[in-house]
Parts: sequence; structure tokens; C-alpha cells
Amino acid sequence: MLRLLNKIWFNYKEYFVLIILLLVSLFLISKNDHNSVKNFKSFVFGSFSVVTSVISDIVLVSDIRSENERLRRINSELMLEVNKLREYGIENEELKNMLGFQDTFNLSLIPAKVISRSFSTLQETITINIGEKVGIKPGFPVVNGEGLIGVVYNIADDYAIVRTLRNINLKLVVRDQRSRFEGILRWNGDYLTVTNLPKTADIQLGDRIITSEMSSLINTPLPVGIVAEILNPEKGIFNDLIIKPIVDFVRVDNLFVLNRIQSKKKDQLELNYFIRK
Amino acid sequence: MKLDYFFPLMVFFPLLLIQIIIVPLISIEGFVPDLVLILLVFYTLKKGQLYGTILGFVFGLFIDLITGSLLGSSMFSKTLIGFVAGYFYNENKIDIYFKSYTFLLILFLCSILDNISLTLITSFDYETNLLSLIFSNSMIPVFYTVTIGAVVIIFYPKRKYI
Repeated sequence: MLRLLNKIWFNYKEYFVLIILLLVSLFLISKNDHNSVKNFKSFVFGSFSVVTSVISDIVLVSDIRSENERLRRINSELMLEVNKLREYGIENEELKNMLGFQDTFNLSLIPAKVISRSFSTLQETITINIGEKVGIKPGFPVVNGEGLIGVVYNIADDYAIVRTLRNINLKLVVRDQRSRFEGILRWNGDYLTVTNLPKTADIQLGDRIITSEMSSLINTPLPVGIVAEILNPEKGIFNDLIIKPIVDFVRVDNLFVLNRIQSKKKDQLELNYFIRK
Repeated sequence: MKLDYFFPLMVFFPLLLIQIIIVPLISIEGFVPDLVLILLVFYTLKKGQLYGTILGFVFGLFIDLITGSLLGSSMFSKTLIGFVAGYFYNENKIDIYFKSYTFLLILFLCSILDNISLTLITSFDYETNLLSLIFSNSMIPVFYTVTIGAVVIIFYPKRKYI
């Protein structure tokens, strides 16, 4: 009997090992949302990110000059924009006071730097050089001067992994800024799409898409993209949209994590994507 | 245990650093070559199917943990690649593989399989056109990986084993 088993193992060991390892992989895929798995991932990527951060600083130092120049130009443009918006802000404040509205925003920005990127085109993630120590949590939005980049997914003490909008696992509630129609934004591997919008939705090419206050993740309107194409306009009862992202994900180096005071009630909702502790 | 069995792991970590820090700088439309896959196929062809299968599993585990992708996805695809590349293992043909375009053909096959398995695992839902997704997401990275893989043929030493 033992000899027979030995013979089987000797002849088919590659297949046995393959099956066992594939089953382990599938088992782990099914356990991704477990806290112990998340904690272990945080520990490993946190440790590795220390090395990544140092090397990234050395490698990317050559980019600093051109980046600095670009930022100066953007800074000047923003200064003009801010001046204009300040005027609008004062006017808005006066109008709100007249109507008895209250300001609901309570935001602060934490600067961060990208130290590495994943190489999967379907599950794009970036690692940033800030973590739990500065108070960020899974689910916090990540932005740059152009718009929304993604959402914090996993955190270690000094580092965090961000799922960008080009990650198939990230879905967000967004709205058309002009017509206020809402839909679910997702990355389909090729494009950012908003699917299953009713035919009656008033959507036009070039409309600006922003995050919706309805979202349990991001309840602040942040620019996401522009409607580039409306699919199936002639048939069916739904329209799909292709969204051209505002952010150039390939060139993102410096960014901000949006630290905000979230509604406790909303955080404790059972179906909230990231239950915060 | 022979030390050279662990050598691929020592090469793996610096290579992964290059993959996640430097390689994005030479991306084409966001697509990058998979250096880890080249390393995996290389060592599988040198050391055999069983070794390649286990090595693929270990590489995949570290990739998933470090890059924050779905834990198990790269493990699955890289294990499969180690196994498939192992079919081409032949002790007497190692030099022939690395000194000819055979290596690139094997790499091409493995890269396609890697992309297909990864796409199937991570993107399976009823709304996605998987075939179109596989095609659009695989072609550039596959050719890019094979192009970079040509470096192995160019620099592979004659009759010298790593």
C-alpha cells in the first residue's frame, strides 16, 4: 500500500502540489475581507514600504525640478482661480445666511507622496508615504489638484495603499454636476464607466461628473471626470457612459488625503463599504 | 537544502522594487512589462516544473501582499504559470532555450496565460465582456514583457549556470 502511494506521489507530485497551491490561493481570495488577513497585509506592505520609500526618493529626485516648475505654474493659475472663488464664496455665504443654510463641509488635506505603484492594469493601487500615525483611515478619499484619485484601502503605521479609480474593485456613487443624475462609477478594465443610467437621464457629452453626497465613502463633491461617450443610445432602456478621468493617473506623484469628520451614524451602517473603527 | 534554490528569492525582491518604482516610468498607456514573470519562467525552465510551481506561488504571495492587490490573485496566476512553463523544462535543452527565440515564445505563452487567469479571477462578473477585456488588457503587456525578456537571450552566459 505504502509503495503504491509512493509510486502515485512520485508520478503525480507536480499535479498534487499544483492542486493544493491553487486551492490555497482560492481560499485566500475568499478570505480577503477578514481582519486578520488585512492586518497581515498591512504589516507586510508597511515593512516593505520602508525600503521602497528610500529607493523611491533616490530614483525620483531627478523629477523634482520639472515637477517644481510645473507646480509653480499651477500655483499661479490657482491663485487667480482662488481670487475669483473667494468672491463667489463671500457672495455664497451672504446668500446662505439669507436662506438660513449651514455650511456642511469640514475638510482638511494631508499631503502625501506616491512611493510605488502596482503593475496590474485591473487592480491599480498606489502606495503612499503616510499612514495611521497621521490619522488616515481606510475609506478616506485621495485627491490631487485635478480631482479624485482613489480611496485609501489598507493602512500601516507610516504607509497606506490607495485603490485608484482604475481598480476594478472600487465602485463609487457619482452624479452629473449639471443635471444631478446619479449612477455607479466603475473601472471595467478599459474605461471608467457609469452603467445602467435610465434613458430619460439628461446626460450630454462633456458633462462634468463628480462624486455624490449619497456615497457612504465620499460624501463631498469631488471632480472625477467628463462624459466622453454615451453608449447604446438607440436601444435598450439603459444608457452606459464612458468617463474620461480628469486625473492623469500615470503622472500622479504628489497627492492629498482628504481628512474629514464623517457622520458617525453613516459610519456604523451595516452596508458601509469600509466600516471605520 | 541547496542555497541556489533560494537564489531566485534574493533576486526577486530587488526586481520587485524595480517593478514598482522604476518600471512605471517607462509605462505605455499605463501598461508595464512583468519582470517577475520573466524571472519565474527563467528559473522554471532551469529547475523544473515542481520548483517552478512552488516558486510561482511564493512570488505571487509576495506580489499580492506588497502591492495590495487581491490576496490570492497573483498567487493563483503565478502558480499556474510556474506549472505551465515547467512543461517545457528539459535538462538537455536549457542552453538552447536561452540562446534562441524559444524562450521568448514560452514567455509569450506564459504571459498570455498570466493575463487571462488574472483577468478571470479579478474581473469576473455578469456585466463584463471578459474576452474583450482580456484582449485589450493583455496585448500590450504581453508584447512589452516579451520585448524585455529578449534581454535574457542577449545577456545569457554561455555554459554558465546561475
